[in-house]
Amino acid sequence: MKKGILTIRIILLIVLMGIIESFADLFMKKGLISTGISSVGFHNLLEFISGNALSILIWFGILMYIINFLIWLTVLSKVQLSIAFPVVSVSYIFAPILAIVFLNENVGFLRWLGIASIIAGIYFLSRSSRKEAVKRRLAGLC
Amino acid sequence: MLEVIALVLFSGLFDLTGQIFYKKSLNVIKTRRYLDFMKTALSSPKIWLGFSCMGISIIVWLIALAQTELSIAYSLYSMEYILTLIGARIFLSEKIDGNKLAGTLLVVLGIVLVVRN
Repeated sequence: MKKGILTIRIILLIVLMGIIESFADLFMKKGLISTGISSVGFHNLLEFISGNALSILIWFGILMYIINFLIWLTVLSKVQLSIAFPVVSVSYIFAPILAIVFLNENVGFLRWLGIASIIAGIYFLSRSSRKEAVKRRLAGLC
Repeated sequence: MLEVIALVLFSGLFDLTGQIFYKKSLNVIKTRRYLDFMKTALSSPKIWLGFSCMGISIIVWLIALAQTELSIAYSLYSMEYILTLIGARIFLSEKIDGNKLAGTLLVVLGIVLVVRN
């Protein structure tokens, strides 16, 4: 049992969440645009909420958030919050990578650096989780 | 812009509170069978307290999204990674070692670089 360790399986679950989330955000944004309200304040908050409550796109987005919620509980039950939370950022590297592969877009140097930085960050987080697990096992033996 | 920053911060703090409630309640579940795990988790009041915090967080997030671009909103949102590190240390007694700190900071830097226009 690899309790507490950031395994590939957990990273893949978080990747799946990222894919679901980006669709959810897309539906949400489309839904928000369809209400025709461009700026929200306290004066039109109710109008804003009721407009969105009627939008099927918003409800579809919410359903996706619920699926993500269940996946997230599974992930959190296996690793620390301070490990799992930053790994969610793995979803940020997909948009530029998809743009390179499917749209032949040029991705600038800084964006490549960003992708590399996120991957390096996740590597350090997994190292932290491994060391922590080893320490716990040693403590259990003594 | 200041209003957007405040909204994103507000949304992030509610999200973090929710995460801490989730983790606190999941930490005491011992069962390894998945269905039992889900049943126990979903009947825990702390999970639903956390869920309510998330609900508030999402509503505030939507309000912020409606008045700014995705790239700006996401950049601002990366503040929450630092807050999470602090919150997990204080409320969940999770240890912050050099690897974790370096990992989190690299992730924040990466996000800011990736989402910028």
